[in-house]
Amino acid sequence: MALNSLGRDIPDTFAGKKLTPYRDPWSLQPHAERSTRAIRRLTHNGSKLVGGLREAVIAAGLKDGMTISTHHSLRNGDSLLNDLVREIDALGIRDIKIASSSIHVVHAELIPYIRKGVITGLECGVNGPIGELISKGELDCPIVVRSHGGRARALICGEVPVDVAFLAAPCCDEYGNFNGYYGPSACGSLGYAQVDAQHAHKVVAVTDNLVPFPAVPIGIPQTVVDFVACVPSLGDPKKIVSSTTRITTDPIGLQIAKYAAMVIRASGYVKDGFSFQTGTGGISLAVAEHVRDMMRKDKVKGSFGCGGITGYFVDMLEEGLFEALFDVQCFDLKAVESIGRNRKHQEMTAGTYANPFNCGSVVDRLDCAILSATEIDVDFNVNVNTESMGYLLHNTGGHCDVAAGAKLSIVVAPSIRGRLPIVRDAVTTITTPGETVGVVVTERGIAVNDRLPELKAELIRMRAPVKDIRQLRDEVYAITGVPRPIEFEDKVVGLIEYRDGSIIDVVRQVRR
Amino acid sequence: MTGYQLRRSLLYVPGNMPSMLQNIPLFECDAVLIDLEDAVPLNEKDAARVLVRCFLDQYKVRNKEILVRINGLDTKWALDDLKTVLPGMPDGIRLPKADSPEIVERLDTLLTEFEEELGLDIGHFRILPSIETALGVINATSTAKASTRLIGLAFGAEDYTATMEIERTKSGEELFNARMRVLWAAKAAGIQAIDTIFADVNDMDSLRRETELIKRLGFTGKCMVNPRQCDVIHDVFAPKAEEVEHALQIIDAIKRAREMGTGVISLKGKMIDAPIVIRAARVLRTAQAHGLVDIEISEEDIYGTE
Amino acid sequence: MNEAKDKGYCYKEYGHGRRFFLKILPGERLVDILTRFTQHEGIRHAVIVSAVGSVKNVRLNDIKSGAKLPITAARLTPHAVEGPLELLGLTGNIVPDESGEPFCHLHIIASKSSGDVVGGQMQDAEVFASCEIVLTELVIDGIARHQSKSAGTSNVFFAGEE
Repeated sequence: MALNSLGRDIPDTFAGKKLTPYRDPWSLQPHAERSTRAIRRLTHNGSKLVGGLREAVIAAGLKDGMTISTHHSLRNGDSLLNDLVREIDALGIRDIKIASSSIHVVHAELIPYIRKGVITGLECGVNGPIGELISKGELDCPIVVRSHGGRARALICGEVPVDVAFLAAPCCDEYGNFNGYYGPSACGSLGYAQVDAQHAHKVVAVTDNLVPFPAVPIGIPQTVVDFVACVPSLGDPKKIVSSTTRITTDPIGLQIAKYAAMVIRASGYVKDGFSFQTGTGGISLAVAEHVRDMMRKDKVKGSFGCGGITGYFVDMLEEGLFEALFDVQCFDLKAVESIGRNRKHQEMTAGTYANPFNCGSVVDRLDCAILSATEIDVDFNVNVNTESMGYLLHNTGGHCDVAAGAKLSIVVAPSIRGRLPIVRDAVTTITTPGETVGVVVTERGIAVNDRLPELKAELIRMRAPVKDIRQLRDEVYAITGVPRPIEFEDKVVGLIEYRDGSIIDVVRQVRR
Repeated sequence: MTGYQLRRSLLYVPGNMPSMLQNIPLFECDAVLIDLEDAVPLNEKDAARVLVRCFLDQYKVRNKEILVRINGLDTKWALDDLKTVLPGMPDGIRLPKADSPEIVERLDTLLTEFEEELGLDIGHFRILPSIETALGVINATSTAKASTRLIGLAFGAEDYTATMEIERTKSGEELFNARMRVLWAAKAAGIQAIDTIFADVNDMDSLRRETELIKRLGFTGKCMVNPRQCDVIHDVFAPKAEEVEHALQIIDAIKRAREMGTGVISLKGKMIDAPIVIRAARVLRTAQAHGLVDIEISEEDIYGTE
Repeated sequence: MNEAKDKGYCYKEYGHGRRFFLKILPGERLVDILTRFTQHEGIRHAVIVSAVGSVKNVRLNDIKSGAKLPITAARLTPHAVEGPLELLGLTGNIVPDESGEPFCHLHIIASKSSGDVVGGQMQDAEVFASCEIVLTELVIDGIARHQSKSAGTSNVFFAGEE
């Protein structure tokens, strides 16, 4: 055991791997080569079509103990991972690790296979019940939660070697060229899959929409794809690109958005060349609306918007408010439709987006970013992984990547959810270190990190409700009371890996 | 609440909804009207009263004016409403169906009794009467002078149109006469005039149009049913940059005038005297509330020294 | 003598004293003149029989709707009417207070040019053009005014009344 720089107890090893405790967001230097894979030569004019999923598993040579991956661009509409694990089990293969880009609620179907020993490790974060069961000690499956940038880094550096990547290919030809723009399971950008396509030892394109050669525009090329498998369906289109892209009507949410807009206004970044990222939540969209109005009013020509893209951002692009969109993932049909036709709507790999170990990722070019939180503490540390009960319920997404990259990261959250204080003495789990968080915005006021005294002064000048973060905490505690700390067992069931591969926190089993 | 109290936006908050009450400190309106009357069903009158009292007891550090809308004085609940909420020290009472000066006087004398009982200065609790029936509109002139506790007259169009047996429209021609009568009564009595709610929370454009209209007519504030309406209302009531600039020049000019020993001065060929100074001061105080200027206007600036 | 408590009222017979006709000059204040006059003539009890003329700067009080006892300043609406007004009537009596000073308890009725009438408990009024008052001295003892805690006003008490 060793304490990391944020005072969290980090074990020496986890699931047989040696761990590096987190120190700070910047100083850890990589000592690795790009991960490689065997070069191969396809038999002259050989076919890549292997039939269905089972044939693909066999053709790819999947064996006990190997690691597989899928991408999560189909989000909660994805059925590929569930179907795949069913086939792996049917073939009697055991002890498989999953290193997908993310796992969603729909993948609760995997639980029996984890119990059975088909799946024995998760090299990725999860949303939903699997994490809860692991937290309760009811599922034994070591889990390493990574950010989008951190996962790209882990694959590129060979830290997580993927033996076979099974990549959902919404529009694919028989020679393995595919894109995400068309077909019944169209999901738009394949930003996450790009990394697997380049670094997995074997790549299988799995499609429910085989089109005559060539599948253009080519998103992932034939040159990296070993096999093409056809399935009846990759998922439920209704859930693939179905983000709620409605602006919140909740007055508290609107107030938070208004304050966040004040912060953006005060930052002075809203001028020509402005770059911006926001999520899909109702509050984030309300902030985006304020930003759009500011840009219109001041006739600002922004540089780019990035991250997961919604129709809202597409409208801003088409209005000429931004020069380009960098899209790692499409959140709705409008975004899918746009990326398929507009050259200024750029597909972006997860590595380009957020990998800290390259010659600069897109998040480093961001001016302002809006981020969410399940908890925030008085040191500005943010938790997005665990909830009030201590259960691991959410994946990190790009949270800590964007916070580290953006010049100004703004965390928006209601100060109270239900009866629970969101601003508190210490977060249950640290996802994102306070050092990379600029401002916390709640409906009760705006707390500015001491790193940004000029911004704080400007906000005070604008008569924004600036408060010390401890004052916010006190106000919230006065209403909710101080919550009893959650009790944990010593057993570590999961790691929260910082983007650079060091361990910023761990998830321990919740005491029942 | 001495001198100049900005009341651009008065938000109704149902007295039976803890979640809404809890958020009162957060809303950016100038005043809240905690409702024990129409928003509260008959079987919750008692519970709501107690809830509102508990809220007032714990809301010690106030950042806005708190008025409680009690049930009409002709109902069996009004006295209990007052008995329960007044010790929680609201700033005042919004009195529904203030159809005559006598009704306001009746509340006035009740408030006096409570102030005596609570050991407060007589006149501590203020009154904002609702002019919301045909009779109320007719009597508005006398009602406006019925008590020194009055901070203004509030026009209530929903009840008014009901008593008139007419429909309320978004353009509001049917309200024009009643609004004017309330305005005259309030202005004549030297108190504020507060306009009615706008019910459609999703129609911000019509809300804006209506607020612009009532501001032009002379209303100084508007009631609202949803905090989302606050921004539009404040935006309409915000003084325009040129208004602020002009007001600053006026205050500047009158200060110069006083230094020269006169109460009148010419600015760009226009005479500046007391009424113009008072209006300029109001513009600047409103501007300050909007964060547009950083200037404290003292009574001395407006009226000079004796 | 708990007569009042039993019956709801109490009374005493008086004998006629002296009778006076007063002319009060413009600008004089009615309460002031009546006080000075009664002191000058040694009158302890009196009643106003009639009063006509015109007045200005009338200050009077009326009781607010819903007021409960005791009547305090907060339960009264003060009115100040500049006038001038026709003095239509002044009714009331003069009874010594605790200190033995004459206390005028007067109610006024006066009319505006519109013909509208104002009225109430008179605090004071100034004679405008003229004022003629007929006043009778009452020969009676054992009655005086005291501040009543329950009523909030200065009431007449009979000797022995509680």
